[in-house]
Amino acid sequence: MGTISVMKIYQLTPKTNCKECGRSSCMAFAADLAKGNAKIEECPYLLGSTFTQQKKELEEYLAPLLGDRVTHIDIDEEKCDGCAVCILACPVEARYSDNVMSGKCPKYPLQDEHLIFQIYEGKAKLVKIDHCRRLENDAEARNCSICQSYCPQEAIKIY
Amino acid sequence: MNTRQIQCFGCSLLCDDLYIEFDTNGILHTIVNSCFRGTRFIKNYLSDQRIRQSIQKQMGLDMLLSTEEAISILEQELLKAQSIKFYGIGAISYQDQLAVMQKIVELKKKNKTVYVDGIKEIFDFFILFQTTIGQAINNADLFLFWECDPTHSHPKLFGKLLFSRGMFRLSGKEMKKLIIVQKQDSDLTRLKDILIDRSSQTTSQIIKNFINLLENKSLDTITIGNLSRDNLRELKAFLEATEYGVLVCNTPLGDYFQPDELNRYLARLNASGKGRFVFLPLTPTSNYFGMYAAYTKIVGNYSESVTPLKDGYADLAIIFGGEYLRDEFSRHPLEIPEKKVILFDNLKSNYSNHARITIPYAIPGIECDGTAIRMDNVNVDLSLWNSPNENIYTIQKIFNKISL
Repeated sequence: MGTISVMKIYQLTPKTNCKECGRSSCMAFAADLAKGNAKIEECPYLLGSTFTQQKKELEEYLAPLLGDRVTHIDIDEEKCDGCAVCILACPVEARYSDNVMSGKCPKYPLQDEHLIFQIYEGKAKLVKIDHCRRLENDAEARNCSICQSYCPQEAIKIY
Repeated sequence: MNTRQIQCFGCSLLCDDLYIEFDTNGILHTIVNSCFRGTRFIKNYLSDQRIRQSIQKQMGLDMLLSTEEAISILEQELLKAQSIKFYGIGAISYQDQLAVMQKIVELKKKNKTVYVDGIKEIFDFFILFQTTIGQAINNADLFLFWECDPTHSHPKLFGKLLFSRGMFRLSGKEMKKLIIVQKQDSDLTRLKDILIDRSSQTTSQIIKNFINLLENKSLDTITIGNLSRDNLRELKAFLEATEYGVLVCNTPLGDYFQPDELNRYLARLNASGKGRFVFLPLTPTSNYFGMYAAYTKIVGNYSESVTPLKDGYADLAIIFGGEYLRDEFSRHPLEIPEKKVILFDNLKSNYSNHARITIPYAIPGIECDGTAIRMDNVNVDLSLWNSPNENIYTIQKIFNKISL
């Protein structure tokens, strides 16, 4: 595994220093990513359509660190209309959220580690991927594409 | 940052799982769990585009009016007009609707002819086999989406109907069947179990053939869209296995299918199959059922003399919300420009360009409290979370100030 460059990671961050990831700056976030002490999806800007390319490049660059911890789920914000089918169809979200089981979106702030999608401003976003089936050890689970299959707008693509 | 759960008033689903985040200055930062339609509903009315003072068109220019001046003009126009048509009453809160209906009764006493757009349809569609959205979510095992694509009008409806129970999600196979009947492709098409192209048949022809299928008539005598014999067998199997089938459609249904005809066909379907087939109307505006409740409470039962079938001759139109017209535009392409229009709306639009006066009003569920009645006749509380300017009144207050 080659050296992970913090500067290289920093170049791919939004550079807003918004602190929404809990760190004082994007440089600090980049440093934590390099050490494996942060996750890409902790940055809300990297989850949006403006930084889709940067997010992909970060996932590729950090793949040696992330190993298999990449879902390869991409959400096209232009197409997404916030219908929440991805939330309701996701077997993980349904299993762990009473709200989702009964056809509603999960409570906010998210109270469960197992919740994967959330709708912000009318658009779906991946928020916590740790329990996505695509990251499980089981080969069949890793092929899960239910969110892609059921998105009415074809906004979710698994690449 | 503060978080608060709110009720959406963007469509008739009236979702109660929305959250907003706002800072200590009351500035809204994020809306969570709302579809694009609900987000647009909230953000439009909090934006700089929002109309904050009444406007009168004079010589093509916008003249600002005080609310009291606008109410005075509204009063004069109501007294002058011989016939008045109200549009969009389904888009306001129940309390606002009661105040409007009360004024309608007063206008009738003054021998004015009054029409209420949409009221006949809602009386028509309270039919014998109507179901509620709660029943559809909990009991349905088959959906027939009849020429409607809720992914745009009611974005969260599809998910609610098909994914209310999580037990079968792991297999990726839905236990609820989805049959789509329509003339052209839509976003729903790729998710169907069966697609029926109805460009060459009427609604009644298709339903008659459903009944023939269930009554075991020969497949040679049955034509449903362009379904092959294998598809027909599959459709027959779905219909026979159905315990609670829901026909989902907009009001009015397809090619002016009459409600009593729909009743008869559903009765025959129910007699032929082992299960129950029911009807779920997708009402276009957020509080259509509230309009029905307010109308029956104040005006009384529907009568032809109040809202005849063909009426496009009212000389004054009172319209609540340009959003309503944008949804219903295909029904009213010619009526509106022929009338004098008084518009209650909070955004500039082509309708506010045409209207004599445009009056902003306090939005239920954002700027004032109120009640809405959901598609399953459940009362939903709408709460204020963003106080309006002092000169922006509720519709209830405006109409209570009118003296006829």
